[in-house]
Amino acid sequence: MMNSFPRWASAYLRLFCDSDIQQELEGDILSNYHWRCENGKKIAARLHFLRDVLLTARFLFTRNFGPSMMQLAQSSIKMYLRNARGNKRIFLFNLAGLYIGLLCFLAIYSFHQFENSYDNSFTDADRLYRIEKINHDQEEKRTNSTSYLLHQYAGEQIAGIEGITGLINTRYDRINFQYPEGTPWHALKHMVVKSDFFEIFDFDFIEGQASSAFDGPQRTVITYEIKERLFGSGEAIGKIVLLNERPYEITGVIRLPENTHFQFDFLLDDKTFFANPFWDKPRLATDWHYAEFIFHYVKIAAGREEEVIEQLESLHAAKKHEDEPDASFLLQPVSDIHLDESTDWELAENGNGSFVNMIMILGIIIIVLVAVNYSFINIAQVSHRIKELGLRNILGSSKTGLIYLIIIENFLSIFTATVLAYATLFRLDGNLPIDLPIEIYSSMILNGEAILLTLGLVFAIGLTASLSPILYVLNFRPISALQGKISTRFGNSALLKSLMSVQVVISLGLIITMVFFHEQLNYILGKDPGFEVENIGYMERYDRGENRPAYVGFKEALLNIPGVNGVTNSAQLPLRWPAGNNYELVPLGQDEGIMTSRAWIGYDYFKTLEIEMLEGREFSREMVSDTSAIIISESASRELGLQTPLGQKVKIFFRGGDVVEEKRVIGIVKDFNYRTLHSALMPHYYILAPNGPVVTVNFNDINNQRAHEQIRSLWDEFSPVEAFNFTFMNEHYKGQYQSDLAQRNAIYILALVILILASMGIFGISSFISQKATKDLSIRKVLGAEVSTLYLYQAKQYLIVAAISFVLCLAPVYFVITNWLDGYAYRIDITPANFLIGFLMVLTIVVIVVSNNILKVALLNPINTLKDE
Amino acid sequence: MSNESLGVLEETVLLIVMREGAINGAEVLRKYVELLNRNISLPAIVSVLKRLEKKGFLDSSLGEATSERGGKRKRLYSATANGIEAARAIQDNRNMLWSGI
Repeated sequence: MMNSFPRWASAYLRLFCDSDIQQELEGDILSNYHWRCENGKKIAARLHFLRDVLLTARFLFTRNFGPSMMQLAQSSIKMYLRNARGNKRIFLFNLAGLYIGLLCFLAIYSFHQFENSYDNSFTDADRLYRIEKINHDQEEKRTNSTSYLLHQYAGEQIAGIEGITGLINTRYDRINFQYPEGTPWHALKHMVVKSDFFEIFDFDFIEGQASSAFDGPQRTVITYEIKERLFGSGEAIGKIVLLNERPYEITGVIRLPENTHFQFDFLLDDKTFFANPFWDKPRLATDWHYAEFIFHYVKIAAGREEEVIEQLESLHAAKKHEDEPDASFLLQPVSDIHLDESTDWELAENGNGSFVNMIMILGIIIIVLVAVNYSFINIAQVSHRIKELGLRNILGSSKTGLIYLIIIENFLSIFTATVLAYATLFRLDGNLPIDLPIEIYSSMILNGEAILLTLGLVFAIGLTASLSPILYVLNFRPISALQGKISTRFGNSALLKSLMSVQVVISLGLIITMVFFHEQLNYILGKDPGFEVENIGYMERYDRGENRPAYVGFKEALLNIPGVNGVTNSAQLPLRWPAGNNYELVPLGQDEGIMTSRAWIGYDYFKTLEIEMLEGREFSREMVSDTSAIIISESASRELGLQTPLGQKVKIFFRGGDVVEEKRVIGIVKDFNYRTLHSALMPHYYILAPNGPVVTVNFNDINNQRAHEQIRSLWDEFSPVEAFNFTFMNEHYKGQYQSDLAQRNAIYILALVILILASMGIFGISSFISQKATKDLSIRKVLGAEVSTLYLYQAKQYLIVAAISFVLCLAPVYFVITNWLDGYAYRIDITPANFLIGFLMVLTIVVIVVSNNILKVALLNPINTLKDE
Repeated sequence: MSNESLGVLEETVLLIVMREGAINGAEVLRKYVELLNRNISLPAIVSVLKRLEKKGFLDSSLGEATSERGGKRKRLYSATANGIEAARAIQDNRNMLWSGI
């Protein structure tokens, strides 16, 4: 049974009550406790006691602070500044840690929020979906394209749909946009939409109206950016522009937000588009079977999604060809499209969902490390300042005062760091100094949610950082503090070592991952793609006016330029061929074939790109019959498994539908990497298209300036209106790995930050451990221990921590790396050597970081440390 | 009558003090638990007592210290004339209202 009020409870009460109320409450609570004990229930009495004590917090509100609170705040700020001046190093160390941590976290947070804000701002965005399909054939691949006819049928026959619209994905096509007549063309990006597009997606119209945008033929809607570029500050509405030399009237100017997956310069409606031969897909509008690059978007009545999917599936079953595979449908929420990586051929480069999540996790690790390390360094600091605090206490400053001092000091530091971090972010917005895949979006950290989060963070870090020092102060006695005795409550070495181990595990995990990252990217960039990369350049010509003699003489003239080895052309850029395995090759006389992709190429294609022909020959001008010939790739030939593929006739089907054509194989070409090394090669066949718009040139030496100038003047001669463009193949090739390299940069930087923070933490912990060991080591020294023995004696414990951490991090790191490498078709092996390299690197860092502390202790003069006794 | 109004808990505590004469917080709580058979925390009682004192319905004086209280002196509360009047006024109003039912 208690005879006096416990000290901890007394200290707690002192935080909240004036002293007279405290006296009274202590007495009352105690007598109440005794009364309950007499009633016989000891445990209940104790619980009541605890509740009574805790609830005294309510007296904070009636507490009379008077002017002393202001004085306290003033003197705390004064103390804070004085302390900052006195302990400059520790102070700046702390502030820098907080600042870097908050900066990284907020930058990542802004990026994460932005990436997740795509297509959120349309009306009823939560009920907008894109219809997607999974064909039940060998591949079971998910596709975002659905039949062009779906718009009509769904509108008529499917219940539960409130609105449907569609578009044609023309991502890589360009149309020559001319205004006013007679000026140079701009190859601009368009999107072809159904005229009801704006009923579902309510873009912001700056000029014109959504309802009348496509109410007639030959209309176009342009983005505000294009309007600024071509029309300056004047009005654009009502103006006539030439699109591939046909007149169109501008009926609207819209603001295209950055965070939408729709990316275009101008819009056309599909009726006008089909009336003009920009694109010949005549069967698209009559045959359910054709579904390439057609997207459909629906608004669905709340809760009727399942019902709509069932109806879509039965519609498909009713309309499909006999041998067309069954398909299941799914509804992709529009706001998820941007970060979903499961479909190819989106309207613009999509975000990388797993990267966004990974980087957010790194951000959270950073902020947690900052909070933990900051509080830890705080405790270490309080124990350093213990004599000062003891003296203040003896001179009459109450413990409450000390506690407020700690809290105010902490919040001032954190607040300063936050303000600095915000200021830096605004400065960096749009001016990032290096190539990073993350952008900083200051608008994303200015809304209510973000500010609340930041305040929450400040509060949380402030509280965790203050909590332990407060308990420390509550517990300490000034007399023993002045004697130099440090309470050992926080010196529990198991706790310290596990805290340290956490930091080492994180550092190790990151460094080992980095080593693999680095090796994989080097491997991929150094791998031979199978064709000439260095001395190749190409031009894109979209001069496709009907009456223009497209390329007659242009290629021949190019070949006459000294320094030019070869010229060819193709329908697509050499490294940008359709990925869909849509075409089935079936050798004549067989039932089963293989799925392939197809590419249109001109004469001398493989010769110009220096790709080896394994058998047979290329398309040739001399052979008129080559219009009915194909060349197949090595992998296609292997999969077909024919004895004598050359001369073999094959039938080609589009996805199990009607026969598209019947062709003869005239050559087999070695496989080469037409896409990034992320994806494995797919079987291909090549078909002749002598007038493709992409002209590729092979040079003796890519740096031959004279040849470039001559090409340029030839271009101007042949195509006076289309602006000259020229791309170096090696730039394009490296550009494909741009996002890999940029991701690598971001992760390197974050890893470096985490490493610095972890080092700071390890430093803080080790200085605490060393400080505790001072007397122990001094006595050993007096008894004759050498400096080297003392050094090793201390270093041993850190090495043990590092070794344990290494074992702990193996499994998670292995898991992450395997997962990440699975994204590459061509990948390095996971070798133990890389793990060891990472381990040695971290070990070196740990040794460097702790050496300062342990040497300092080992070299101390025992007289100085033992004089307190 | 004073302008200050009384809450239900305040009224109850005031009545207990009026019933018992000079009484301290712990005893008020005990009476509260015994008479009303309801549970309450001590800080709640003490804060009500402080409030009533501030409103002028209660008066307090320091009593003796006992070992049961860990050597702390107790503060004894008793009702003032204002307090008694206020409690009575509430009761009168209530009676008046009941008589009309």
